[in-house]
Amino acid sequence: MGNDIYNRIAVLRAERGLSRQDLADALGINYQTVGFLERGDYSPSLELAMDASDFFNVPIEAIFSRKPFRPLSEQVYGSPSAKKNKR
Amino acid sequence: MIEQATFLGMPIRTHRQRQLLVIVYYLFVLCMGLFYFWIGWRYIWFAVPQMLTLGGLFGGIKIGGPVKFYNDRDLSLSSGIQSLNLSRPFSFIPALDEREKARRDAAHFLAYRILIVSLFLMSAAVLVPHSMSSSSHYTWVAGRVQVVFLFLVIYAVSLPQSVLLWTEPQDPVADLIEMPPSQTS
Repeated sequence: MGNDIYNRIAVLRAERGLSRQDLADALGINYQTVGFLERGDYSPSLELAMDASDFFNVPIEAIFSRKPFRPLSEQVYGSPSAKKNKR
Repeated sequence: MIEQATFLGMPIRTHRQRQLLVIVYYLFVLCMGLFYFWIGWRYIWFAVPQMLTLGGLFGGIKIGGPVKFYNDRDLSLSSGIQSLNLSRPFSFIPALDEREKARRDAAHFLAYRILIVSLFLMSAAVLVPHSMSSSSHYTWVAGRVQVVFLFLVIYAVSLPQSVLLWTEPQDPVADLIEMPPSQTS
């Protein structure tokens, strides 16, 4: 099992119209750490991950995963190839 | 926090600037060490305040310095403590978050490993002349052990900060430009 942990923090932050500083203030971290988290350069502690989960009000597995996330648009509307096959 | 800091008025925002600062710092310390090594131990007391100031320049103890290894919660010293740093002497130190603490710990670990090798080499530099060279050469070196010891103190004090300055990655330029909330929603 690889050590990479993927996350959707950037998507969730943009979705809620928050700046990095807003999110950093809410989670009690430095705004640069938000950047490191979003780029996947830093894996958060369980405590910080749960804080993020509470803040965004979504389950922790909706934010963090060991596998790369599929784009939200693809999850909602399906993949382009699946659409073509449907037609 | 490094990217927000300045060192004696100079910004250290980019990785290149931070690495250059480390190089200039150690060149300066080395020159000073060599100078006192050359003129001998009789003038060592002139070197002590200079060396201590240099050692604390990167981090300070509680205030000042571009690299913060401590915050108020971690360091329960009396509030009257004086920093050796000359830059931003009255600045407020924000608490370190978990990533910064992890970086701090990793820097100390790496600095410790570098220090062990350095101590080994320094010991060899002092002991080898004793066994291989003439006694007069050894006496010359032994008479300057105080300078080597002072240099070692500065090296040990500043090494974790230097490791952090050297290794801390730079935020991409995009990270420095925040989109206003109205454009992201």
